[in-house]
Amino acid sequence: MIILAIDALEYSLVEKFDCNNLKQEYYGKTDISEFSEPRTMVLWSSFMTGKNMEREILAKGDKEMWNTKIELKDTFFNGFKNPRIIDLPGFNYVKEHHEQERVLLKNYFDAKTDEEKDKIRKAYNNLAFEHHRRIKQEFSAALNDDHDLLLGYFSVADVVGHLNFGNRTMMKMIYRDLDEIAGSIKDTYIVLSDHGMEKLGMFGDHSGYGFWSTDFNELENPRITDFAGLIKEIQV
Amino acid sequence: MNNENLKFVIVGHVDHGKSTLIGRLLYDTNSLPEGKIEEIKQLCESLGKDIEFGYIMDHLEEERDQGITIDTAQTFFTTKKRDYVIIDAPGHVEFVKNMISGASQAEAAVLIVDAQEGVKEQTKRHSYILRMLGLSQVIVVINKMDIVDYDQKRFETVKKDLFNFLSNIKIKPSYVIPISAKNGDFIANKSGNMNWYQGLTLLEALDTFKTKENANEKPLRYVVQDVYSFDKRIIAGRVESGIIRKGDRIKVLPSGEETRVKSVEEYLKNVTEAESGKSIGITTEDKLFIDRGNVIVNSSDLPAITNRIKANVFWMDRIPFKKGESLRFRCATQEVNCAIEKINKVINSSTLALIAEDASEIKNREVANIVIRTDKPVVVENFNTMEELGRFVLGREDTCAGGIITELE
Amino acid sequence: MSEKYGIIKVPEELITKIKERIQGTEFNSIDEYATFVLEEVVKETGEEEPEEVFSEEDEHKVKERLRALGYLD
Repeated sequence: MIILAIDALEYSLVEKFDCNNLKQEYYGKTDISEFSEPRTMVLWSSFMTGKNMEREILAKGDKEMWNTKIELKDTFFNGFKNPRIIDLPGFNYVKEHHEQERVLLKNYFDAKTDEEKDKIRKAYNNLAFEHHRRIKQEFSAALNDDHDLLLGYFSVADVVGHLNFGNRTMMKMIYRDLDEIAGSIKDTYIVLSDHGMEKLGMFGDHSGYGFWSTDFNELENPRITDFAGLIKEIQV
Repeated sequence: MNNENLKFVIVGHVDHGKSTLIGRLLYDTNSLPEGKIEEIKQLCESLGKDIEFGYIMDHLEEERDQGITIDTAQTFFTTKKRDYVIIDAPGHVEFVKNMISGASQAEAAVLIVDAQEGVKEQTKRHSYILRMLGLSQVIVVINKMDIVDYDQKRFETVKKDLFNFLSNIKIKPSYVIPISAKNGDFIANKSGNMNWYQGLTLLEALDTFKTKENANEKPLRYVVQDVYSFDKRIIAGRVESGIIRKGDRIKVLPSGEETRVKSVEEYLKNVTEAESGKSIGITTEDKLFIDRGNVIVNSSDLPAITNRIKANVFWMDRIPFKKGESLRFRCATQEVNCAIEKINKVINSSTLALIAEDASEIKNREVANIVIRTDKPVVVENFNTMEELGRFVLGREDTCAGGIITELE
Repeated sequence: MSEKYGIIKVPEELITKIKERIQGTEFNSIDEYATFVLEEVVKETGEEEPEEVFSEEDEHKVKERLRALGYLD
């Protein structure tokens, strides 16, 4: 079982850019209306534990929540013999890297001149792309290894999207790339996002639904917490 | 470089790579907006992959969907030799209609065939339409050679198949070129992928084609619109081709009587000649009987005078034509009654499928190959040699069809 | 995808005009013609989406949103 966990993969763009590998046979929106806001850390934590983790994560505060580290035994990954999880927030993501992105994001908004903003945005994008290339390599190498569960978490659509969602060329190229990654998978896989993204001028805000796809099962408006049980079931 | 431009159309099966070829032509001739391409290149680098032509196509198609940058009807690029216009009709109906009515005139065609898929029904229909429209400058490109590993045998097989068909309909392509629009083999640049092919690239081949001849350089065709008698007898008309000069020896058709041009008359101007496209008047040395619809020519290189014409028509009236109906035939300023003696073939202009042979009816938006018999002899020419007298319309009260003359008897 | 159909009301005069217009065309019915025309119209409005430019108002909005989502502590 392979899971492509893609941050902020937006349903309408998958549709618009006709990303067939991301879509697979069955696809749709997830229902995340039970959460007060579409927060990345809350959603992925809820995904891996199979239960709504909002209260727990929010209690940590905005700063501390990014340090969340759920133990293997509390996740559905525990049901696998040889799971491999790459860079998942709330589990094992490269904290330093994602932290650096948030610092640049903050710097961007604090910057006073257009010139400065432009420079920071470029550095921010480059950082995200560089990380994306690394994860892509890691994921593609892991595809050849013998894991009964492989999860690759890709954040580029979210990170780059926040400051560039109005740039169609850029977003399309990113979606194409993600679609190619999905296309490189030979086994059964699930595509899942925490939330989507909606345009706010040239920027991007989280949208109030996620994306899912499978090639074996029609899911009716699933909740993100449904997947833990669903994946365990398939495993049996 | 000079100012001439060559208009051509790319035809072929819808999935055989037409839009990729257009994209490739624009890309390889640097006809795309520089900034965007650079941006796409950088994004490819950012994402850790080689730039592929597909990404540029992606972008082009999106722009096209939004109707920006690339005009869907006409796309331009330039070689060292001249400018090119790709006439890319949104549908066959428009293309055929424009060709026949003269709204946009392709001077050459590129027929695209997928190396793997080979000749398809649609390939045949499109070839047939080229034939009907009288396009004689044709290049065949066998596309997607990359998919068949640039295999010469496959190329030869497809080429042979296609030639079997093309020779039946009397099309003789000037070139057959193995290409990969995706990878850019033999479009603008030669490539090492097909050392067995020693011929021209597509652009080199296009560069060898002739553009439409300058109308001034063609034989004189002066079409009479009216005759006025004031203090002198002025024969008003339009120079469709050639140049009419004071002192020229001329022949009036269909009567065949000869005389000389005494003067060329242009309102408020003192002239001795008039070139193509001008509406002017002339006086003659001898007083001949001349009337509206006559065609004045030089003595040599004569058009045909006939009452039987083979033509291809595009029917554009809601009310279908039924055999037996009499129509008005109009060519230049000539206007006579005519009957359609035979409807050889009727074709759906959208799918290009053959609807009927030896038919008795032509409906809206259908193309037909017909034989016309006019009440009186008319002065006409083959569309390919003299467009001006090779194009006509058929009408009831209003125009209901446009046509081009393919053969004379 | 299976298509479902709904009913819409249009003036009879218009129906008569369409009936005349589609005679001898590729359209087999008034429904087919109306669907085609409406599809074309809807398509046009849906595709207009120019590339966005920077605006301070948007920036302010997204900053507030990102703060709410916990990105900017």
